Amino acid sequence: MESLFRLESEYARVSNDPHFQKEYGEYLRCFVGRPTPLQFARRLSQRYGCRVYLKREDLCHTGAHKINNCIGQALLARKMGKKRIIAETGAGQHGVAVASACAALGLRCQVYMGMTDFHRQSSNRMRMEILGAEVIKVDEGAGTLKEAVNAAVRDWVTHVEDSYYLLGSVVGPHPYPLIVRDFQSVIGSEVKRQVYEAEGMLPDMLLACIGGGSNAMGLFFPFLKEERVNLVGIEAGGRGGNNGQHAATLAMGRPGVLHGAFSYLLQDDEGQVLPSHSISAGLDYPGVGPELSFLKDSGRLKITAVRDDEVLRSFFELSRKEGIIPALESAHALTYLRNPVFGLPKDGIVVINLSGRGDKDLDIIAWEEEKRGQTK
Amino acid sequence: MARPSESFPVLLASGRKAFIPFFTGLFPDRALFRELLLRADDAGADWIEIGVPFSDPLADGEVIRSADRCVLNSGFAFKKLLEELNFLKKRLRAGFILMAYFNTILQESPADMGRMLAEAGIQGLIVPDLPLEESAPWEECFDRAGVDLIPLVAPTTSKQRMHEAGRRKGGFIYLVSLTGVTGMREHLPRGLSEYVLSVRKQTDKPLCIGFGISTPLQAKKVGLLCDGVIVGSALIHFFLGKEKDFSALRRASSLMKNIRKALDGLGNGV
Repeated sequence: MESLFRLESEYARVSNDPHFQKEYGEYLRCFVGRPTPLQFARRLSQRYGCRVYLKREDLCHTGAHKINNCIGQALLARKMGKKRIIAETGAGQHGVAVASACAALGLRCQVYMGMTDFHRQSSNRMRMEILGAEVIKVDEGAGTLKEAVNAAVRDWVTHVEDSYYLLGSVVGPHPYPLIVRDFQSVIGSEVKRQVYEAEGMLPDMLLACIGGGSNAMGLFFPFLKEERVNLVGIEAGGRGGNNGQHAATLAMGRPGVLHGAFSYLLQDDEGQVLPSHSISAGLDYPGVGPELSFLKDSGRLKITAVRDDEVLRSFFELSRKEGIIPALESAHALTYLRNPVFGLPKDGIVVINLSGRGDKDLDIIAWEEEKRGQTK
Repeated sequence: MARPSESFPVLLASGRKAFIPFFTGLFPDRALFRELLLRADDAGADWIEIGVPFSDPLADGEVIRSADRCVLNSGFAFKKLLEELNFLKKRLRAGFILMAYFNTILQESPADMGRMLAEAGIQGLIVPDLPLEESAPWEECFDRAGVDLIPLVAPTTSKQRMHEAGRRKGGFIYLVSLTGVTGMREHLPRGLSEYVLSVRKQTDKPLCIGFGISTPLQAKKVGLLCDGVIVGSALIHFFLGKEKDFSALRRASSLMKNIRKALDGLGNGV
């Protein structure tokens, strides 16, 4: 608790510190490559009868939005005098972003990665190692993001004096969900300005995939008070249906406590946390951000879940219609276009957060294709 | 034994150090768990701490995690554990203290959970991921049901929060000996006595120390500093990988007896 109190007060200080904000802004501009474009997706728009815009977070340095948060927190860690950074990673996107930020700022870096992810996202594992991070395999449970977080937390409570835990999503104990949301809000703030420039009005609908929820919170947060902007979160329906086969926490879970936050949770009748499944490692998590849980309950945020096979179709659709290979995580958000359970605004403006690029997923795609070939 | 808030003053007055062995609920199986608790009672445990297996035990090291996994994989149910404790409560002198992660407790309302625990003979509850800042309403309900909510203090805890832990209703404070997770260690953490003294300055509540205490000698040294000793991983590790082995049971009970002796050897006011 003491380290969380300290983090809270240090963070409050830097968020009002113009020097810190200036340095952060410069890293965002020169290192990350911000602002990222808001691209009008011509062929998708024709196909779906609305004006589809893609927020190109896939063009961020390291290939996903994760770096926005990592640079911010790594600067904060350096300010707090920490020499060593601990992080968890699922798909490896957060891990790669942490490793890059640490290399750039001269911090030591250890990343915990579940056994399953260690193998299915091996190119990201290599990138982390090239960047000088030590990747530690976690051989427990399902070997995915949840186990990686457990291991990172245990490391942190043991080395809390000299180490900083750089959490990658809007989950975990306060103040993490707030810090990550703030650093990711640059996404939504840019979108707001860019949509005004392009269309002279606010968008009608925002779409983002939700695992822990950092890209979704980052996009939604600056729009929360704009009541007429519909917010839709798309979760990983996995293989559909039963427990253990999906990661649709908001859609199918119930409230509980995991990793120090009270939020929706996939759990059994006695509160044991259930394993999750998703084709995308980045969404494969049985918890979700507490603020997103609140937004769901308040009715401000609508939630739907899409299945792995539908996601694969969207993955190819964007690749072949717009020339962009999306991360499987982001392909969940795209899938809403084909299955708009809450409708699409006819001729209206829809912004989709293209949170990451798909290079890391090629092995999974190859494997899925092979599987499909066999069943034919 | 009555609940810690009632019995600890009596223990202190008699000069006896509390010995609290820890076992994972229904580990290695129901029959051996029962046998372990009976032997702990014979060995002179004052309370027996029972951990509720959890899918994500953040505060636990490799040994207790393995035990949790073993029990969860063979179809653990919290209700079954409560049934077993209910059966044992009249047959043992020692009282029960339950260790559960918050999500287990959260499945019922505070009042209902308090009643369920009390019915099973549970006198104290430790929730490692429920901070003082959020525990007050639970503490109230449990107290009314006759269950002490035991606060935890770690080396990183501020003086203010140590003081606050001392003002709570729980019959003792659980002092985590080190910054880290449960598990056996070769040596006691450095600076332990200074740390215990710093807690004593903030509160006169009885202090029991756990995490990393594995041998009778370590227990004796720790016993000199505080009012009770908690030993878990050192007892559980005998059973890992050989869950049906009776020699493990023998070794666990002999370790418990030796720890009891080491603690008693301290005598009055040593």
